[in-house]
Formats: sequence, structure tokens, C-alpha cells
Amino acid sequence: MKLYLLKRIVLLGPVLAGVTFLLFALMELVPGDAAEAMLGPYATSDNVQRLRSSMNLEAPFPERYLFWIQNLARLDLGEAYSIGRPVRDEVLERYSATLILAGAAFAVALVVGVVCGVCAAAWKDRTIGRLFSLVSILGISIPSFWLGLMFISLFSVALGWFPSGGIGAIQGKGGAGDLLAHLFLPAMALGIVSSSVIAQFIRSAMLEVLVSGYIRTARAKGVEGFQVLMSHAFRNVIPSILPLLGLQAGYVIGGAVYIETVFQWPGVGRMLVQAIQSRDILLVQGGVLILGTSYLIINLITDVLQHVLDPRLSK
Amino acid sequence: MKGVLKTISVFAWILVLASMLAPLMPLPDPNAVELGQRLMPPFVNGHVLGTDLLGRDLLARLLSGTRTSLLVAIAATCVSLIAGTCIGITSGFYGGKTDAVLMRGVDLVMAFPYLVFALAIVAVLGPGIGNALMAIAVVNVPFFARTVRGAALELAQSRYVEASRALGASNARLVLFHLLPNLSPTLLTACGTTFSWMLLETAGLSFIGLGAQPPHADLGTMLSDSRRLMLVHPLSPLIPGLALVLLAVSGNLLAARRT
Repeated sequence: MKLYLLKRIVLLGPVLAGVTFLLFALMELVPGDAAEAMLGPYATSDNVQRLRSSMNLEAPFPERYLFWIQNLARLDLGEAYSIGRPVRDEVLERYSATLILAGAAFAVALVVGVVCGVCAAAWKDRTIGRLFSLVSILGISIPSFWLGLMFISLFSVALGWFPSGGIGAIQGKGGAGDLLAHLFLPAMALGIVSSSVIAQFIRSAMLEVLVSGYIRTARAKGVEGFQVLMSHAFRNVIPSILPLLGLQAGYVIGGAVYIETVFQWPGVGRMLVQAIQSRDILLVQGGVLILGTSYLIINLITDVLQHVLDPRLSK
Repeated sequence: MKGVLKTISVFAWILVLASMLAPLMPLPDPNAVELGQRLMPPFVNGHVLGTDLLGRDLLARLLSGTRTSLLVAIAATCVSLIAGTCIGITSGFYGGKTDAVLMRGVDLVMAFPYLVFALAIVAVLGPGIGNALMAIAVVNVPFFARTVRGAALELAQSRYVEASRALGASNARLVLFHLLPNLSPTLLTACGTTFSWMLLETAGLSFIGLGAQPPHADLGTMLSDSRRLMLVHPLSPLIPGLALVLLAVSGNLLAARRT
């Protein structure tokens, strides 16, 4: 187990190196160069030249990459020209908002997915179970941004139950209640779409386990139906769904870009969209880097957790 | 249950046919602005679905938007199908070092959350429907490559491939006449789910303003236009969204039927 953990952490090194290289190389492909892109079509060649030398753009590619990596190690990602402040500060500030949204959405996805998946497996021959296949196909076909818009129509405009956007009331005390009210609709819109994939996976994994011998033995001994379902069957499904949860975390992080736009949530996703529109390459780099790194770490955690829960995998 | 799914498919096909035949139908220009006719309710002045903020006919826009979304999704699917299949077959058929190098590259792309990587590509290429198409296609190449590699690996070791190799068949012949035909069921199923996914993602990029640029619209741009009207017309995102869901559901159904 310890060996596996060590191996995974050591392997993270080359992956991170590859990811940063890919990101840096990708940004090199911007037509013209970063200086031209920033200053736009009406810039004088004098100004472009000045920016170019201040951004160290004239050095050869490997040198600039090393320079960039050195700065990255000091968490210095440069200055975002479109907002006039260091990329690091802006990204970190936005990141906490994204973490709140993605975390809440992931919790929604997990709870809804587990409940629906287990129910669909337990009652597979009843109407609920058969209805499930229809609902789950609908679930993977509904875009989260549209669901968010419909939620705003229904719960904010028509019923007035929840605020339609932002992370807190402009006037008022704020606090946890205010945050929850603002968080509810975006987290639901993002979480529900992701839950259908989780539910589908849990259903098929449960159906596989439910026909195995030890379930029959437990039933024959007279163990109650609910207990068989949860502590015999579902418990054995948990390790196998962990990698899927890692993938779904990636979906939630990506989907947050849309949902943050719909609900004007001040997160990294919305920042990325604005940065792309204003051609702020450094800010884009910062945003992509932090979301990509989070995804790597989440997948590391789910993989390690899977090995903790199912020690047979480490052998 | 089957009845519901069938009805959905029928409606989806009607929508697809109508959107393809839209240029032949007596509809106003989808991009023609007529400010005197703005925000008309349905069935007034010959506007079946009414008009939008700039007085453009919503039915014409819906059909042309659907056509754009469909064509973009199909094109993106084809691009990543071809690229992914090439990588997957090369990797699975030749194995060894080629396989190791290609698959590490695939792993690298998959280390990003896919949409975030697509955004990085759009940042490089600039906003626009063609660039959004390329970005979504590129991030999907690894999924095809992995699926194809797995199947090709198995096929490359099968007896009939060995037999034809013993008869002196060239690698090109083995790939074109033995591997590809046997891979096609796997590929078709993957295409169904990928198509739906690409439809939603390209619409999503348009929705956040990085896809189709004005005056042209796809279903995503229509949704983002409708956001501005939500206070007065809360139901304005309903129809473009339903069209999107309808098409995505039928793509997923096609894939589900094949498995």
C-alpha cells in the first residue's frame, strides 16, 4: 500500500512536467506572439517591441520555458494585463469560489447518483427501475447550462425563491445562509447532470453484485432486505466507483465554466472565458493550470482511496 | 417506455429534416433584423414562434441554428473519429515503443479536465465556430484512440490476422481489409455517444461566447441571446434548449440501441 502511494506520488512528477510543457507549448502557438495578441491590431510596432522585450519573448523557446517554470515554482505567473493585477492573486481569489461551487455540485451529484442508482438496482423490475433507463438517458442529454437557465426561469423569476446569480447579496449581512441561497441553484444544475452518469454506473455495478453467492447466503440467513442492499451489496461497489468519481470531478470542474457564466458566479471558469475574450494569455495559463492541477490531485486521491478500500488491488 | 423513446426519436428526425430543408422553405432570413417587429408573440404577423430582441424570426433562427449545431457536431465527430482511429490502430497494431509513446501523449491530454483543455485551445485559436469545432474534436481524440487501441490490440493477435500475415499480406492490407471492418461496430457505437456530447459541448462554447459569432447563430448562441430576455420572457430559453436535448437524446438512443 505504502509502495503504491509512493509510486503514484513519484509518477505525478513527470505528469505535471508534461502538463506544464503542453500548456506552455500550446500558448506558444498563438498567432503572431503574445505581445501582438495583447496589444491588438492597432498597436504600433514600437509598443509591440517594448512589450516583447519586457515579456522576455525574444529568448529561444527552451530558455523561456525554463524561465517560466522557475517563476512557476515561485508561484509567480506574471501580471494579467487585462485586469492589471498579478495572475496568482486573481486566480487564487477566484479559485475559492469555484471550489465552493464544484464541491457543492459534486456532493449533489454523489447523493442523487447513489440514491437513484441503488433504488434502480433494487427495484429493477418495478416501474421505478424501468423509468430509470429513460431518465438516465435524458440526464446525459441535458446540457447543464440550459438546466441552469430553466432553474432561473422557474425558481428565481416565476417563484422568487432563490436569487438568480452572484455569490452573495449586494446589500445585507451575507453569512452562510446567504451563500447557501446563492449556491443552491447552480450546485443543483451542475450536480444533477453529473449524477445520471454516477447513477447508471452504480446501477450496473449493483446488479452485478446482487446475483453473487454471498448475497443469496445473506438473504437465506434472513438478513433484512435493506441491510443486504446497503451493507452487503453497496459496500462492495464503493471501491469500483471511485475512478468514475475522479472522472466526474473533471466533468464538474469543466461544467463549472458554463454554470459560472449562467449564474455570474465569480469563479475561475468565468475568469477563463473573460480572459480568452480579452486575449489575456497569462491569465488563461493560470486558470487552466490551477483547474488541471486540481483534477490531477483529485484523481490521485480517488486512486489511492480505491487501493485503501480494496487492498487486493495493491497485491 | 418504448413509446416515449420512439416519440422522441420521431420528433428529433422531424427537426433534423426540417432544419436541412429550411433553405427551401418560405421562411424569412434568419439574420434579417427588423426592429419594428421585435419581441412578437407566436403566430403574429406570420412569425410562427414569434421574434427575438432584434425582430428576427425565431422559427427561421431555430432551424438554421439547429442546422449549424448539427453540422458542427457531425464534423467534429468525424475529425476526432479519423484522428483517434489512426492513433489507436497505429498504437494497437504496432505495439511496443510506438504504442508507449502514443499512449503517453494520450494520457497527457487526458490529464486535463476535457473542457478546460478545449478552452485552452480556443484561447490559442481565438473564438469562432470553426475553432470551437477543432477544440472539441481535439479533446475527444484520446477517447477514440483508447477505445480503438483496445479493440485493435485484440484483433491484431487474432488467428485470421496471423493467417493472412502468413500468406504474405502487407500491413496496409491487414489494417484496411481486416482490422477496420472488424472495428466498425465499436466505432459506430462510440460515434453515437460522441455526437451527442459534441453537440452539447459546441453549443456550450457558443453559449459562453466562444463559438458561433454574430450574426450567425447555433443553438448555443440562441440560448445565450435568450438570457437577456429572461426577466420579461422567462420561457424564452425553452425552445432552443428543447431542440438541443431532443437531438442529444436521439444520438444517445442510437448508441444505446447498438450496444
